[in-house]
Amino acid sequence: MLSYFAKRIASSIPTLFIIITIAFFMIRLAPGGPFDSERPVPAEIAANLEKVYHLNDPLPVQYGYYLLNVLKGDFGPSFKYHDFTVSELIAQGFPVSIQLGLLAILLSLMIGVLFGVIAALRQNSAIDYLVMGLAMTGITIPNFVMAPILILLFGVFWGLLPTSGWGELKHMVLPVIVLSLPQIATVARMTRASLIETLNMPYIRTAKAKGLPTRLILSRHASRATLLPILSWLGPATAAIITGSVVVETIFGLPGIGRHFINGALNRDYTLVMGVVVFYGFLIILMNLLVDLLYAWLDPRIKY
Amino acid sequence: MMLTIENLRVDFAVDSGIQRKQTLQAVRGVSLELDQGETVAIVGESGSGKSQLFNALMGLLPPNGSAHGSVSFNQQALLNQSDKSLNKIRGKEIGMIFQDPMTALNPYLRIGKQLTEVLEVHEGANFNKESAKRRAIEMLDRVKIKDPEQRFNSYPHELSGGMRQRVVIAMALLCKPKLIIADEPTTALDVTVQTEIIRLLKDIYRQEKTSIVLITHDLPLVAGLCDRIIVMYAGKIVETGTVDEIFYEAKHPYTQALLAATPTNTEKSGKMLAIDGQPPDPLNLPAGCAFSPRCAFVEERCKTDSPPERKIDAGHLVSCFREDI
Repeated sequence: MLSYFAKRIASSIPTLFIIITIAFFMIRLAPGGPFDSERPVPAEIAANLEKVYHLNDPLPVQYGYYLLNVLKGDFGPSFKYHDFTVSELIAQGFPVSIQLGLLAILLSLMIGVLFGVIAALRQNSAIDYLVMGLAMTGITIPNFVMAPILILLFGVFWGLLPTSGWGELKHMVLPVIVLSLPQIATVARMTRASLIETLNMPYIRTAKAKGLPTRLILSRHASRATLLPILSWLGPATAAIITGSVVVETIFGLPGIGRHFINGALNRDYTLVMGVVVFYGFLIILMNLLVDLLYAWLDPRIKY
Repeated sequence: MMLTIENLRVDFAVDSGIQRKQTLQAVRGVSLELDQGETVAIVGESGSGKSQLFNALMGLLPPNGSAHGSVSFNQQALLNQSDKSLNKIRGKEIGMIFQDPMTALNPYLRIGKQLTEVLEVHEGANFNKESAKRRAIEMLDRVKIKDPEQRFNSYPHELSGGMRQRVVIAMALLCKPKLIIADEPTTALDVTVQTEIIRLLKDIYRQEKTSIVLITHDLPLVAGLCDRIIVMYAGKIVETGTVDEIFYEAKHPYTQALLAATPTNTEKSGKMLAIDGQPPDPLNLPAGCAFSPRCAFVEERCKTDSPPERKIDAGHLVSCFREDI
């Protein structure tokens, strides 16, 4: 187990290296640079800036500098947010994003699994169609539509919740709901399909023939097989929710890292974009590793 | 009578997509009786309804299946009862052994858990974890599993197919049921393991006097184990009799054809005998006798009328018009 863990961590290094390489050259391919603005800076200052940040060196040399710094754990200073290093910006934003993300995942799992189980047990009934219809609606409405609607209802019309800001629990309610709605729908649909499939397994029939009550069949015999596909969804989904909350963070004005991703790319803030990309890459690798370990815990046939 | 089945019918609602919903008649009016301590074999091809018959009375039909008729087990009605009342009988009074031991055990749970939970649900307040474990290990030993203490903590995938089937049998026996339904218990196993399993069932029958219903398509396999044989074709019983009556005095053309098609007969003649034609499409059964399209002795009336059940001897019944065969 421990050696497997070490192996997986080691094998993530080449992956990260590839991510860094592709991201580095892609952002450089984009036209413009970090110091281009509507009012051009004087030529001497521009030359000076470029010299300080090695921007006038050939690309491979810059790439070499960057790799060396990353190896030292230094993601460099932000080109746009003066007085901040990339690491500081990520460290500031990450707590916000992870709180939002984990709450949203937790909410999606609880409600999604509940709805999915109800729908599966009442397969092809009115309740099933209602739940699955709602789930379909949840998947199809994009968050940039859902967020303004909820803001309008809860913030503007009824005045129940703040429409932006950060710091208190009430600030989290709307963003977490908007983030989790499509995930709830996905989880509900997956749970339904998975449970229906599991309940058709011969070993469920064995359990019935042994005289086990439905409650025990569900909790003891069907739960693991039902949860496995949701588990494999969980890794990428957690990473995606934590990193992909850009729209939600922007709409609700939250100080997460999602906005650094977008703003960094728009501003050609090379180091910031790179830092966030590497961080996200690492997060996804970590989440997938966690999921694989959970798999072995759930399924005794999997051994590492 | 311990088990009485009267005019049992099992239907499946089949949605074939383009067409309107159809009804598949898997079992078409089966009546049979079983005494305490009796062993009976139900023989028939795949699709003859032999498994669905017993799935129906155990309440194990899939959601699109429905059962009609009446079944009583020790004066208790079984058919279409709630899960709650069935659960007092399933696993306790009636044990079931399934066809494929590779899939009949839950791969996520230890053997011991799957065994002791039978006692857990049926003994209620009397359940004691330690004594349940002891009894489960005893039962594993009883079905001739080596190192039962270690196997108690194994997962199903750590056991061979034959071992798993022994575990399934141990599971069915734990509560000392009055009746065991074995649904093709050897079909998924190697030939050498098959005889071992049958020998084990024979031992159990001899020692516990448990009634056994053995569902199979393998006639020679049941010869040494059973008192009576019931032959089914297309959801109906075509012939019942003692083992000798069926093996040596079979009256129904289907039973005769089935006996002729066994591999032991094949060895003598040097070629594999098969019954001509295909089993009928259960959605489109022929009128009259369902075997008529494949029957060598077919007459005009066979194609229009259902043959009545005819008594040859006290326990030997056959459903065929032809009295001359």
